[in-house]
Amino acid sequence: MKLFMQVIKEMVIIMVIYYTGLFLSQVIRPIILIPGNIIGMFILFVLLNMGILKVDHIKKVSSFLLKHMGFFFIPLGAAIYVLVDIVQPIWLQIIIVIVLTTVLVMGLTGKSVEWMMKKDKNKEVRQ
Amino acid sequence: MILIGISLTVVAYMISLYLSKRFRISLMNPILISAAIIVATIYWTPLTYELYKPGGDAIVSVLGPLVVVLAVPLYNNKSVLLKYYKAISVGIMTGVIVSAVSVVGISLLLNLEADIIWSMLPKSITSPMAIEVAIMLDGIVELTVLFVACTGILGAAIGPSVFQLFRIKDDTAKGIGLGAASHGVGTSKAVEISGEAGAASSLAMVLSGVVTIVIAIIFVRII
Repeated sequence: MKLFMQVIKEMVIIMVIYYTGLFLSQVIRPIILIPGNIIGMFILFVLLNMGILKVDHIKKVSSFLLKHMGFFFIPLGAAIYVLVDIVQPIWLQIIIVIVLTTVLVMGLTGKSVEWMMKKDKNKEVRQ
Repeated sequence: MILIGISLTVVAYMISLYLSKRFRISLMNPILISAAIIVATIYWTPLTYELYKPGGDAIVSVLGPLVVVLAVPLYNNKSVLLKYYKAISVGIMTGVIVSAVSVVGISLLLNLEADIIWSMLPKSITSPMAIEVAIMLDGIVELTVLFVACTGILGAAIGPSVFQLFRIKDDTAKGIGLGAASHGVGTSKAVEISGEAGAASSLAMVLSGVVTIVIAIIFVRII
């Protein structure tokens, strides 16, 4: 029962932050389009940093959601059933794009991080 | 009505979790395995896609708050971020730009159409953020989810070879590369390399998502 109440409490906190984000997103919509959940994420990050919220306050629900995030995307994946006509003629091109870009992104990102770290270290040595 | 889709998805997900635990290979991605089970069920049993869809839509309709909780890994790894903020910023910017340029460039060379390219553009970032980008760019959200899952699996599988090819030795650099290229699936691979790589990877996953969204926001605003 205690666990149940804790989970409900955590869900309420996350939903309040989420809907605040959605509301703010609607308010600023005429000026700029920012997804409400991104604003919500920013609010949660600020609240955690200011110490108003502790990770413990949302620990159970947040770690559950992070662990099982994939579940919520299954129905979108299953929609391949109705999209197969779009994908079938171009599947090979798609695979080529995914393979090449993934190698490039991972390799160049890692390389640039190493390069920047080395540069920083050299600077420290010289000082 | 709605319960049919929900229960089929839950059962498929539980089977996929069992399979991914039983066979510890990255091809056992829960999203792809579950989707395959559902498609097979629709194909071979009297259950139709029209019967499945209401429940499926119900599950998708509640995924919005997922992005909110991504603030937690960002907060938990703040110390790593502060320590390497320069290297991480350079890495994330490189990752996001290389991803956008190479996806559009190679797709155009292969004569892919605009809506496919827009759907593929956010494939390196985590699903809840990728679908926001796909929506902003008028891509096909369902395709984006599949591309994201494939990129995750592939990145986790080829990560070690890529690091050898590019001679990347530092664990933090490996983590950023995995997180920036293949989001959560890459991060679970990074965790296997070391704690440092795992922390860097989950930072990279969240940050490259945020940067991609910011660029998409600016892009949509200009157009």
